[in-house]
Parts: sequence; structure tokens; C-alpha cells
Amino acid sequence: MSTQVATHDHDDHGPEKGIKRWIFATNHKDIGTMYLLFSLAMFMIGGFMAMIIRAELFQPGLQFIDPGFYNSMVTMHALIMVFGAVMPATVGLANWMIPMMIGAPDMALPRMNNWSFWLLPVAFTILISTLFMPGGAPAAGWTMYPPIVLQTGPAFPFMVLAVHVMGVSSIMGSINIIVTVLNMRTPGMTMLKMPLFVWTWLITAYLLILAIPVLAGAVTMLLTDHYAATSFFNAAGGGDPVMFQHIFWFFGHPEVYIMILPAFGIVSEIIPTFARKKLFGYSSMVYATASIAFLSFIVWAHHMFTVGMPLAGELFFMFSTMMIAVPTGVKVFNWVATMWKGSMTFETPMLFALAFVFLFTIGGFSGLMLAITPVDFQYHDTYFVVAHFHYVLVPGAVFAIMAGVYYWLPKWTGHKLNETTGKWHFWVATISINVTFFPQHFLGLAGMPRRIPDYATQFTDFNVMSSIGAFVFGLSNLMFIYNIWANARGGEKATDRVWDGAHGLEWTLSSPAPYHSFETPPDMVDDETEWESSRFAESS
Amino acid sequence: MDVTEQDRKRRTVRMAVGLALAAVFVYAAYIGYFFVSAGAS
Repeated sequence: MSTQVATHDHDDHGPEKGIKRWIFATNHKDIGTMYLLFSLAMFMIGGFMAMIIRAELFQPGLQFIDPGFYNSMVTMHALIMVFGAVMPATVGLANWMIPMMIGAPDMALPRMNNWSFWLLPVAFTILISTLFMPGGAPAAGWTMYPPIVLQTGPAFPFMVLAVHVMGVSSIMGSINIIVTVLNMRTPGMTMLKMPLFVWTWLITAYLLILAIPVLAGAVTMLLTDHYAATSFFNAAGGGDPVMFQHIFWFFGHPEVYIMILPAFGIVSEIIPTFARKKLFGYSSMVYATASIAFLSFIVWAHHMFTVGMPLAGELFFMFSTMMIAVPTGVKVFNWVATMWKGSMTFETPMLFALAFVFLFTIGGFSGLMLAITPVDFQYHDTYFVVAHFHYVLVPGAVFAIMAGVYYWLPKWTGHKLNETTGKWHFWVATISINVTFFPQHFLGLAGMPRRIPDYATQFTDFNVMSSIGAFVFGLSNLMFIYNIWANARGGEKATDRVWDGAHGLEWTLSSPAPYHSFETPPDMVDDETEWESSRFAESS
Repeated sequence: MDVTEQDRKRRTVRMAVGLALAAVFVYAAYIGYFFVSAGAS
């Protein structure tokens, strides 16, 4: 049996024809493509909801939608963007790239890989269908705090089911990534020789396995509170609604890092390529990633300073949160040090990666401000928080994903990137994203509350600015779609290495990458030797 | 080679089952802890 599998020749067959190729897909590239396309679709749906929110906030007063629907839009936008757009996009990149980066033929458990993808459309069909239910979609925010979430109409159990299904999908995807990375690396690729993207995903996968069941537990308890007469979070029955917040954020804060750690990995692949220098402080990057993952589990209550907690608790969560700045600072320092005296060029992926470093750091700094307990009492539930997490997630996670797509697209399609249209997309997106979210800091500092469809007239100017920025950013994503579509359709043939500073096993494959990559384990090229030889090639 | 390949597959499956059980354990432990301690009164 094992001999048969080990020597089975795949040359005799390619992908299945037609729709069966996608429904029964077990190939990591096909599944990666489906994840990425699904994520793009969700990004557009969630983005459309953001446009509705910004249109409503264009002027004070109520314009287009009633407050209940506004709350549904805020809730669905967040759930779709977090679980439907950002997470599946990074899983898609992992599916495509991890086997190629570690010299494996595919993911370790291809059939489970198929299941973990196909659960996602099921989950999001259920979630989005709640928009058409009597009483409307969930409207208590993505945090689903009781008791307000228990006022959701018939949509409530569907929301809980959708969260469970997407959780099962994430856990299956994580298990697959862990067993693939631990068991399928090419001989010679020790743990500390793995590409940073693989490392960040390995750590992220462990985070997912520890965090997602906590969310599932929380929503299960909500469900039994609603239908089985339990009182986990019902004060009248002896329960405690604040306990839900503790449980939710014990999941929720690691979730933030689940979205951003793979982004760190992508940027750590791109910057060395375009600086033409080895990543500065590789092992410190690995340890910093692990430290961030550990710290992410002991900072949760900084999201809920205002519920009232003992001083010791406030101090603990304030200092532990500030400690995250240390490993994060190590990373930013290492990216900058990699670029220092590098032979830099600024192709589209590098521009997005650079914007990530700058703009994610702005989000990091406002996070430090929010970590200060007494200051948080003023900022809590204002637009300052909205500005903070959007800086971390949009020019942070989303820009890193876009950087990754532009970086690896030529390897996927076999066509060189059109730098002109790529750079147009970059500049329009970068300018508009700052016009959207930077004014929100000022709105928050001035006291504008989040999740309210109306506001006092003194907030009008910054809201107009923010809405205009959001509309332009929304439209800029059509350029992203066009660039992907145009690249997939044709263009100048890409070389195997694609970018002349690229290093790693994935670049030894042909462009486009063959349907079955690395039938036999490739020779592990020592990174040190590879960088030395490329430097020699450059200077000679 | 055969043995190594077989071992690798076995290790992969064992590891995957272990991780899945870990996830189920965290889920059950959370609900169980709150059920026993206070919640379901």
C-alpha cells in the first residue's frame, strides 16, 4: 500500500474536467484557489455592507436605513470580514504556498482539506440568509454580547450554527496545516530553516485550535440560555453577562493574531526579496511570533476595562498588553533592518508590504494608547477604537494579503504582473484607506460613539471625509479584481524565479506551478548558501 | 523507505486525531466548567 502510494505516478492524469474538479478537489492549489476566490467574494459582500454604513454616516441624522438594519450591517460586515474574508484568504495562501515552500507534494490530509473548504460556503449561506429572515440579521455586533444578542429573532440559532460550522472548518484547516508542516517537510528542512510564512502559519494553526473551541463553547452556552432555560449569562437566573465577555475575548484576542500572524509571515517573505537581503534576525522573528501567540492569551480583558474589575486585574491586563509591543517591535525592527542598505526596488508587492509596515505600526501605536486603562475609559466604544482596529486589519492584514497575492500571482498563473495597473491600485488604495480611517481617530477622541447611525453635527466634516475615502477604497478593489483577472488571462511569461531577489523552494518550480508539485522531495538548498551565491551572481 | 513512509502516514493520522481531540476537549472543558461552577442554575 505504502509502496504504491510512494511511487504512484501522477503524470498520467491532470485535474478532473468541469465542475467535478472543484467539488471533489483534493489538490492543494485548487483548494487554495477556491479559498481565495471565496474570500474575495466575501470581501466584496462585506465591503458593500461597509459602503451602506458609510453612506448612512455621510450626514448626521437618518438617511437611508433604519437603526435596526444599521446594527445588522455593522454586525454582518464584521462577521463576514473576519471569518469570511481575512481568515479564508490566509488559509488560501497557506494552501497554495505551504506545500510548495516545504517541498511537499500536497497537504497531508487532502480530503479533509476539501471538507474544510466546502463547509465555508455552507456556513456563510446560513449566515447571509439571516438577512432575509423575519426580524432581520443578527444586530448585536460581532461580539454577540448577551443580553442584547438574545433579542435576535429567528436568525439567532442560524447565527450560532453558522459560527459552529465556520469554526469546524477552521479547526480542520488548522489540523491539516500542522500535520503538513510537521510531517511533510523535505529532508534537511529543519524547523529553523522553514520559511517565515510557514512558521507564522504553524503558530496560527495552534492558536486556532485553542481559540475556536472557546468561541464555540460561548455560542453554545448562548444557545442553551435561549432555548434550554440555562442561565450562564442571565443575571436573573444567577448567571453573569460579563462572564460572556470574558469568554468571548479569551477567544477574540487570539483571533486578532490569527488574522495578523500570517500577514507578518507574508511581509517577512516579500521584504527580503525586494531588498535583496536575507531576512534580518530570522530566529528572533520566530521567537517573537511565538511570544505574541502566548501573550495573546493573557490580555483579553483589555477589551472590557470599563465593565469594572479589580485594580490588580486592570494593572495585569494593561501591562501584559503593553508587553506585546516588545515582540511586535522586534518584528518591525527586523523588517526595517532587512531593508537597511538593501538593494531595494519597489514593485507592487513591495509597495503593499512597505505600506503594511508603516500603517500597521500606526494601528499598533493606537493599540498601545488603548492599553492604558485610565485612557481607555475615555476611548472605549468610540470611533478611536474603530480607527485602531481598522488600521490593524485593513492596511494591516488586508494589505499583506494583497501583497501576497501580487507576489505569488505570477507563480500561480505563469504571467508577469502588470506593474502599471498594480501601482495604480496601490496608490489609490493607500491614499483612500488613510482618508477613511485617519479622521476616525479624531472623531473618537472628540467622543463620537461607535455602532450608532446618527451623530452630533460637529462630527460631520470628518465623517464626510471618512465616507468619501471609503467609497474610493471600495472602488479601488475593482482594480484589484481587474489585475487578478487580467493576469490570469494572459501576459508576458514569468520566469520560474519571477522576482530576481526571490529565494526558497517554491521558486524552483516552473511558472505556472505544475498541478502536482514535488513528486519527489527536492534537495534542500541551504538559505545561507543561496543568499551568498545570489550576492556573488549580482556582483560578478 | 516503505517503513518510513508508513510511519509518516501513521504519525500524521495520530497527530491529526490528537489535535481534533484537543479542540473537542477545550470546547467540552469550557462548557463543563461553567456548567458545574455556576452557569446552569
